[in-house]
Amino acid sequence: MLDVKALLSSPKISSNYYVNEAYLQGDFEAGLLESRAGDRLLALPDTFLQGVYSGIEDELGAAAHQVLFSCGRWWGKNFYRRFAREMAEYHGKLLAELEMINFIQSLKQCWKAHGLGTIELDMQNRDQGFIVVRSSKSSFAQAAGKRDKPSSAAEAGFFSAFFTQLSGEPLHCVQTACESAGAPFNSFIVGTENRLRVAEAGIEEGESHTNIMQRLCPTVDEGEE
Amino acid sequence: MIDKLNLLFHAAEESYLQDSDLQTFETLIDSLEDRLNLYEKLRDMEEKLAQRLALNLQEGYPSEPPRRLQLALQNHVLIMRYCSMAMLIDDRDFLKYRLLEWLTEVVAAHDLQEIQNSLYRFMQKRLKKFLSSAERELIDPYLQLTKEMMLDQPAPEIALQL
Repeated sequence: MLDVKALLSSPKISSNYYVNEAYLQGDFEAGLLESRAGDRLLALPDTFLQGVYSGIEDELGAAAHQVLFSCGRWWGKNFYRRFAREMAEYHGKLLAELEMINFIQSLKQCWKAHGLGTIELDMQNRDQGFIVVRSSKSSFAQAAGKRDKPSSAAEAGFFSAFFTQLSGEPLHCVQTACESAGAPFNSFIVGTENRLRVAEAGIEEGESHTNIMQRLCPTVDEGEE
Repeated sequence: MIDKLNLLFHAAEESYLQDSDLQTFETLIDSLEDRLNLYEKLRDMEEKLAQRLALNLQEGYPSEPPRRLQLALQNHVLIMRYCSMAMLIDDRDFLKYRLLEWLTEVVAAHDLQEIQNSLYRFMQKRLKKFLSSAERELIDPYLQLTKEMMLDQPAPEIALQL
């Protein structure tokens, strides 16, 4: 018997927490942008991001990539905490108890609401221990200018920390395609550091995302670039 | 409509509004009473309609797990609440971006399109019985948009990836 009374008397039927108009708030008198939970948001100018790239690379040279990756890790870890708290408060259950589709949809909408572009999560290779994230319109890749190698290290660090927090296992992330190198979107592979060495070597050798995926998951036909 | 009004508010610095702009306000105000009345009617019939649809579902899908039917009904209640609100404020984007963009993939991932479609048809029958044709004209664009975006589309790729 379907329980209509319980359904209609529940305080709300959860849907999209990250709807733009509802999520982006502000204490405009104080010059603050805020999320609907009251956390501060900041509009970061593109030119400042370009300055970050240029400043760090001038000062640190080849280590710049690692520094941006570490910054991304810090960002991802804290972003996860906020995301988990917002989801738990809104849905009335822990993030780990959310259905997979609700989790994926929420993360996608959250990414968009923060003006970070769009992301897609590809779980096809989850059984082999890998998640592929595709992002597009990345402000990081854009600020990096034209490059030969993937350059969105802050995002790679972000996904590494985010999925580490989510899974409770230490996970690494390697970027295998980048808008700054002419790809239509950025691809990131998340998995254990040990198994991702192959991917890192592949990037050094200039291999494509498809080839790297085939090396990581030889039995899987990865059709997308 | 809200979007159109917002544009007019932002134009305050340019000049007084033209007659054609004021017409936008008038159109909204003229239809507001009808919209409010219909909104109230839909709100008040929510429980009765949902009870009826629950019966239809159980008869139509006797071997379907109740959990799936409950989820489809829950989605449907959500759709009706959003369609009613979108009708009240005359704003298709409200429905599109707040709900449909979200719910379409959720429905597809649960493989609920067929059941959701049946619910939609059952509901249309009930609305034909209880709403006047003028009232149906007010709510139809939003129901139609839901059908186009959510029910008439092939399942997005995400359903295969889960």
